[in-house]
Amino acid sequence: MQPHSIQTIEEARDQLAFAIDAAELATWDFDPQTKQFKGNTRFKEWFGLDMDNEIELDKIRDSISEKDLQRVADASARALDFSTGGLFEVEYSIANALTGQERVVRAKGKTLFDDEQVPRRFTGIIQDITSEVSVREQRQRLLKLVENSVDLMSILNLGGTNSYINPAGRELLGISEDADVTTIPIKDFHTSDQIAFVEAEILPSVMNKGKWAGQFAIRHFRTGEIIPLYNNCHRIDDPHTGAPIGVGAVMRDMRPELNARNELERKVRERTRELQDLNDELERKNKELASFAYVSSHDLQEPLRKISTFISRIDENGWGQDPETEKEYFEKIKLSAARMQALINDLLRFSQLNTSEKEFSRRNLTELIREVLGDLSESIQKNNVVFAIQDLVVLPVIDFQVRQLFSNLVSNSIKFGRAGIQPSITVSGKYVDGIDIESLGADAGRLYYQVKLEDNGIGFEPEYNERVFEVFQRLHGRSEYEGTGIGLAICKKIMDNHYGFIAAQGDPDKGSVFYLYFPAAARKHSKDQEEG
Amino acid sequence: MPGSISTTKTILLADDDEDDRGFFRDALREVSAAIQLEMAANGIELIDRLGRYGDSSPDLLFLDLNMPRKNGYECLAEIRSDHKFRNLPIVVISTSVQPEAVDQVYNLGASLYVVKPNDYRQLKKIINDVLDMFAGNVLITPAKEKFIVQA
Repeated sequence: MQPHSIQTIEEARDQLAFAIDAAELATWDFDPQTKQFKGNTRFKEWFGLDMDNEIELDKIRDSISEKDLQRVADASARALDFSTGGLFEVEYSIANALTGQERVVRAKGKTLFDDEQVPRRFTGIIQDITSEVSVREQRQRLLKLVENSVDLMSILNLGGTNSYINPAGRELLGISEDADVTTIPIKDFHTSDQIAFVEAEILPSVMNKGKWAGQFAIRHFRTGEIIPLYNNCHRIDDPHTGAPIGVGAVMRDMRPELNARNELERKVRERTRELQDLNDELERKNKELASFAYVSSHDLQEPLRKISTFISRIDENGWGQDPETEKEYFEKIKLSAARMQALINDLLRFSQLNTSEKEFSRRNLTELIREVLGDLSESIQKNNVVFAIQDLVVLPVIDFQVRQLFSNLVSNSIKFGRAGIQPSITVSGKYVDGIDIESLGADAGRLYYQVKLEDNGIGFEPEYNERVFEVFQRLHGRSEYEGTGIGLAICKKIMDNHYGFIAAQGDPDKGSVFYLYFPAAARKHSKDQEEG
Repeated sequence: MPGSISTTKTILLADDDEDDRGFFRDALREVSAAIQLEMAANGIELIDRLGRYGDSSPDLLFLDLNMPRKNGYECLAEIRSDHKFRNLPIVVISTSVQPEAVDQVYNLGASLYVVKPNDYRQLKKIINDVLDMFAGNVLITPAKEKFIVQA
């Protein structure tokens, strides 16, 4: 019978060997003094060593991957050094010299030193961590994905705080890179309404159905700004028990998308409005064209018809029968032809006001009017007209058109002067607020410059104040006063081209007043810009 | 003998154009010397003239549509609204045929729509035809098909 202690040691050794084998560990035992290296069966298997013989150190090195050799050697050297504590832990790759099988292992061991700090024994275990490493590497890659994601990624634990928020999430929420998120309760990132929504809608859905996705929002930790997000979250369960342990969320910043959508809507609205305006403009021009065509052809037919009738009368009598009458008729024919000429000229000018180039240049209006008076000097002298022109401002105008405008008005005033009274024309100017002439169609927020032209002629009834500007609207028969009836319509068109307005006030047998309104500035305080 | 009824017809012409008035006057004289012609140069003169007739009335009115101040449409409406002139034959004269104008004038109660001819002989014919219609009492309520007269 063996002694109790010897039995125990043998049993203990067997137990240990069994445990080591069950744990799939390789072991080694190295004597740094004798250089004897011992290893268990598994060790020999992994390193492709001969099962029966002693282990040679060189052979061990052959199986260690070249890239790891130095590291293992350094770790071994450190382990044999008393000052480091004698601890050994290193991960490295083995490529079995015999089978070629690759393995990643973790070796962990310790050195025993004697009282003189001389290493006596270096021993430890080696564990195969190949699958562990592969998993670890995959996890690294996934983590890198999460860390670099542009979207917020977070893990909420059931206690109401986040256990993890990725860098993008921290930035979105307004917390620093190194802030400890586990200490910030999630209600700090939300308004009370949002929290209520989370508790009423999101959490129940996540807990019961496992997920929730939809429109969400958070409140910026520092600025308090509400940020719209698309939230995609799911329940995280314990892999072993299946019990819920948290909620994982991926949230996308919706602002770029919303901004783009708003911008698009705004552009569409703007484009629609532009198209609407263009459409209205086209409609207006069409109407104008239609009535213009009608009115012009109508008024041109008159003189033509009369020429035809005069000729037919002479025809009927027989040519040469009545020279006196014939001469009289021919004079009238000439007049009709001249009238057609004048009509066509004026109609052309009227239509050109639409298509001609609209180049604006800054002109002193007083100067401009004096030039116009110069052009009309003959008529002015003949009728002995007297003028009083105030100092007017400088405005951007279409030079040629505004000259025509004043020429028409002055000519009219002279033409419609009262018999026996010296014609007198007064021109003055002042600024008015758009709001005062809103009834003319002015912009209430703009400033306008009013030029007032007043004469002491025959005037007209106030009821014609507006009709005078209609094309061919005449207040007098053709034989009473010469004129095509287009003059004032041309004036109105010119003011239209300047984005301005014209109004008239007649006082029978006293005179007429014409008001011209030019846009002066966009907003009232730019008044100073216009003067000089 | 009981008071003889004057058979002298009076035609009132409203036309702002001096030449057209001249044509009409000469043409009428050549068609029928017996008819008296009175003229107005614009709508206001016309209404004024009608007002001065008192109990009597012109027998026939030729009304130009395109007159200054008060045009033919306005005059037509005003005249027809006056009870005294509701049976006055009114011949509207115009430079051209515009369907809207014809309809409007018809609805306002005109008796006839005449397009101003460009030939003197045509003018005389038209005046002659109108006088015939007047004599036959066809004028007051014209049929729509016979409403427009043009050369």
